[in-house]
Amino acid sequence: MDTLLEVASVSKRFPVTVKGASRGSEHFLQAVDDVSFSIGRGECVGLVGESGCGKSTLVKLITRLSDTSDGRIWFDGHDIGRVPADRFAGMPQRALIQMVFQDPTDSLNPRFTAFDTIADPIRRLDPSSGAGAMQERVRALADMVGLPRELLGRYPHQLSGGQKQRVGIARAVALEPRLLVLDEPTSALDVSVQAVILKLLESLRRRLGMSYLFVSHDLNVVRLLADRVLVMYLGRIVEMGSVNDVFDRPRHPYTRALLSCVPESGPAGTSRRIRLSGEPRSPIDPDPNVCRFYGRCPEGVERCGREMPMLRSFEPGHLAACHLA
Amino acid sequence: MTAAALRHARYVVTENPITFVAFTMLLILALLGPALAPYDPLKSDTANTLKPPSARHWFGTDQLGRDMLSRVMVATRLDMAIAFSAVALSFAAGSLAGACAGVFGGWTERIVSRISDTIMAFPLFVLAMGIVAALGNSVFNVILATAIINLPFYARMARAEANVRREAGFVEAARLSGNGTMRVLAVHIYPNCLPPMMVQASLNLGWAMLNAAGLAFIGLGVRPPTPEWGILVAEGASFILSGEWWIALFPGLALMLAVFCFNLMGDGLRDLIDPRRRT
Amino acid sequence: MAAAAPLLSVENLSVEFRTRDGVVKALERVSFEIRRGETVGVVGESGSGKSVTAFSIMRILDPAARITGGRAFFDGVDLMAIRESELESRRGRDLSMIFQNPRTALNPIRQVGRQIGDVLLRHGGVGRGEVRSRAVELLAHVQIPDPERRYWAYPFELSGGMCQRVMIALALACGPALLVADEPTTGLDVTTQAAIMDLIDELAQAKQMATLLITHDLGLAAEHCERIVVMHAGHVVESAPTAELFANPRHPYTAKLVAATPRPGVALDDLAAIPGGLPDLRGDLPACRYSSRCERYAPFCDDPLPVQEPAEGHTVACWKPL
Repeated sequence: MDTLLEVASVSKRFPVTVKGASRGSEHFLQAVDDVSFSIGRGECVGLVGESGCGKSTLVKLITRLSDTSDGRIWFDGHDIGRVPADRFAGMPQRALIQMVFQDPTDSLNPRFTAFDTIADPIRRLDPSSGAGAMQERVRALADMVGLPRELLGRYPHQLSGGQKQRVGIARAVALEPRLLVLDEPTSALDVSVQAVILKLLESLRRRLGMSYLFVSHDLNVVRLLADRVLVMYLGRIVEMGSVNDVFDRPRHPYTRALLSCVPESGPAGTSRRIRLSGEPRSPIDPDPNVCRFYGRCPEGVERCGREMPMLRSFEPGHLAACHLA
Repeated sequence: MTAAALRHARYVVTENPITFVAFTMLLILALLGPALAPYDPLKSDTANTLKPPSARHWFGTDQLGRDMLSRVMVATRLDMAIAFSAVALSFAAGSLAGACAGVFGGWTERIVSRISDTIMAFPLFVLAMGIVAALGNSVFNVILATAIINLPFYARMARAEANVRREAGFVEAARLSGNGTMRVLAVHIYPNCLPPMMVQASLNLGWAMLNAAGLAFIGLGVRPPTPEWGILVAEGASFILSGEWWIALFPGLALMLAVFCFNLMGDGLRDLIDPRRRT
Repeated sequence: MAAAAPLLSVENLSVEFRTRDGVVKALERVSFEIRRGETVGVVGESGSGKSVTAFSIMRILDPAARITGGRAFFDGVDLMAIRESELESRRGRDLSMIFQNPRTALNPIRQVGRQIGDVLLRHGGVGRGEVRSRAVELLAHVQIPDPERRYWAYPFELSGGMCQRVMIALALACGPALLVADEPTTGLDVTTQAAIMDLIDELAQAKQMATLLITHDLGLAAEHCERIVVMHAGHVVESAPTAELFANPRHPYTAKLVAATPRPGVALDDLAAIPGGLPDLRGDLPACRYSSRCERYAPFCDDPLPVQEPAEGHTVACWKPL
């Protein structure tokens, strides 16, 4: 498979102040820790994990809104991690990596009409079009995402949630990016609108030949669109593989617990629920030799407390980071 | 777009009729005062000094025989000009400084904060007095002094608004669309900080006017014989005890009406600027 | 079971909101029942009126709201008719509520243990000396680790899941007969959500407490509720025991809702979307508020809605049920 994005041993640390610590001591919050994966051309990779797992930070690193502490990011053969985030706007790759946001209201400038919002990336990154051509381009994009043309003159507060999200999608695909990051694109929408947006995203992917990084906490939705899935916990990838492998034969105890907690439509017993006890470990100054899930994990042996498990292969393409899997 | 703006302006006006009538009146007086005044405000008429309100002189005459109505009407222009200029200056400088402080943080923020704190440490009117006394009596210095003492409010508000907007999704989206930091600040963050500040600006207009009048009342800034409400009240104050109440009352009422009108306009102004309220 | 009188019986509840843009008819003749110890789910999308229903029962609606009709009999007493002071003594003691967004629903400047203590003092008949130990007991009961220490914590120091547990402790402090839970797990992680819902189930089971679960998540309602009431645009469109509702949905909206919810085994192409949008609740509305979006619409659908009962305990408000 032709690789579009390659993430190699990427980490991100934030300096924090700790209550009661001695002066001069430095403490770091390890948001992303030694993450490596790749996304192929035309592939849709799902990223799941709960709050605090580092997926938002990872997304910011990949879209170059923030800089890595360690590690490399290659996009289409170019080392884009090397360019600092605040200078990335001038790079040719800027137009090729775009994002659709979770909250449609928050992600649109309240003073911009839908037209202005969709036109902004074109004006900034592909300004060759004149005014007339610009109109045509924006209208064509509106048609492509199913947004009625007469809504282009409206402001965000005059649009429904689904319509706002279509504007966000039109903006994101305006420059035909190769990689589109979707950060929970339907979780703020009603279930009746969700299906339409998901189908739209799928058809756009095929039509424009894009790769997707689909971030979601809703495993049922990830299952619909993704080819492969990555499971993150406290900054590390704990399992990765094809959607069917990971969802049908999960190897990591966390993945199993996560799957057992997903409500299914249709009466089902809660007897199969795997309960996780306690609180997650602190992400501040984590011990590099202790498995992040140790202590909360329903299984767990002494080895888990002195040796960090690394990702290893169980079937072709299916990896998990656990000593006991 | 402008058609919609006009339609909205009409809606706002019909919602607050009295305020807008008053404001229009003030505006007309400010623009056309000298032309509309029945008498020359500076012309003294020693035969008609200290006459109470009558059919010929609706507001009476002062100690030099000058028609009070004309003086009050003509003074509108100066007072409005001072108030608007001071607020505009203060708003522009304060909001820019505050927005930059909110977005860049670091030294920018520290400097802006310390300057604001220093200004706010003084009783503001005393500070204005000091500035005018130091720089000299002129209309410009009154405007400058009033602008300076109002800076911290705008800087603070703008900083808080910018701080909140900085994390917003559309700001990230703007960066993804290729906007550099300065463009993001100028086009995306700054305009969105303005609506909440418009209410503050309107309230400030009232204060600025009172400030200028207050300074003139104690003899700083605008000097007689230039008609200005503060000076008129000052001149009239000495006559209250002797029974000539009209010399101080009418300029005082005019001042009160103007300040009242600006305060009520706060919401209307904000509605005009904020597209979210435009439905 | 059917012979026992219901604990809560909502009959023809209608609520309006007066706004600048007109009168919004938020609820129209909403009726349903809850028996003692039963868990009933109210599901619907945003704007369906499910939260308004919950707030109406507790009578904590916005001042712009007006209850224009209907009754809510709780243990024989019509909650809509009694005086505010009598209602106040019942709230917290006989029926209580937990809210979405637990961190903002708690008082941010008061320690959580003290907040529980407040409820105990007001309603629980607990003496001042015992309040603290009772509160710590309740915190332990909702499985908060280290309850002695957490008594002194402020809401901002606790995670979302923990705050929700505190709210549950608050709500259950006086052993109410009915718990109204308004989207208690929206915004929480999946594992936390499961833990919280299991906790509510266990506590309800132990105390024979009835639960009214308001949610937009059909899967969640399916897992935890014995009966489900489906709402659309201020109307109750269908109500049935859970298994029956999913096996034989009778209202077109219910069927569409089930078909639109992603679940294992259903491919993207099979996922249904519901065309149109919610009708504007101001102004004139047709008798059936789903008619503009319904593909089964016929002229007789404009007649006042019937309530049919195609099976035992299964009601549907439709002229052409599936």
